[in-house]
Amino acid sequence: MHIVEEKVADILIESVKFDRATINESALLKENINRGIEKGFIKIIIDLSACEYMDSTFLGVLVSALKTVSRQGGDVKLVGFKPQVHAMFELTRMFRVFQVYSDLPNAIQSFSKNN
Amino acid sequence: MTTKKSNKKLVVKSTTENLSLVRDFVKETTSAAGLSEVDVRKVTLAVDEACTNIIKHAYKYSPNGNITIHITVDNEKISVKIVDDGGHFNPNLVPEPDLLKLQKERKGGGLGMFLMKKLMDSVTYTNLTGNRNQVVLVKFRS
Repeated sequence: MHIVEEKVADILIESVKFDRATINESALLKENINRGIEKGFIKIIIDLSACEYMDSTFLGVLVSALKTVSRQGGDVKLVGFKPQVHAMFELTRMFRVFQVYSDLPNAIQSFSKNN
Repeated sequence: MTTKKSNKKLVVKSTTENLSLVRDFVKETTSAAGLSEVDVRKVTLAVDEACTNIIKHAYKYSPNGNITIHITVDNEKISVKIVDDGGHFNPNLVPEPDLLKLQKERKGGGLGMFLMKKLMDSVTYTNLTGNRNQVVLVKFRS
């Protein structure tokens, strides 16, 4: 279970490398994101393309991160929904809150378009 | 269909590490019962959310509690009964989340019970004797 962290210019990218994104993994992502925000990163991309499964606690961490950075003019964008993760976002209607991209380059590019 | 009624039970301690055991148990049992892949996923997530709620709210992350999961399968439905002894719980005190408000305010909490109700055909909470709670999740065969 690990998360690969990458910084591209002023964008923080967290690539989640586990297939089950649950309450057990949520603390690790939360720590990484909070550390990034403390360092001034408010443009964040979470790559979920390895995730086959997500529970509501993990989803809550994503929503909380979005709330924090959007207050500061930032955004959290998501990459790579597998069907079951997509279903979770549809059921909770959270797909209306997040911008979702099929791949990382498009997500990175979207931040420069917004500037 | 000639499926006979069958029962399976799993007892785990109230740790989040045990949730993967719970998910595997539910997945294996409901798959063997012939539920569709989509319904297997729905039941698995609903039970996962129910057990997460028990660990968080009933046992407040104490690892010493027991969570007992009974799965009953018959021709008509899959029924999952989950019992804990973490103190009585009143589901009526948990407000139904306003999804539009959650989206607007970007809040992610309180979605577990909402998901359980969306994923299953019925969700019934009962306070048992002692400090025990029971929740029964039912999925009818489609």
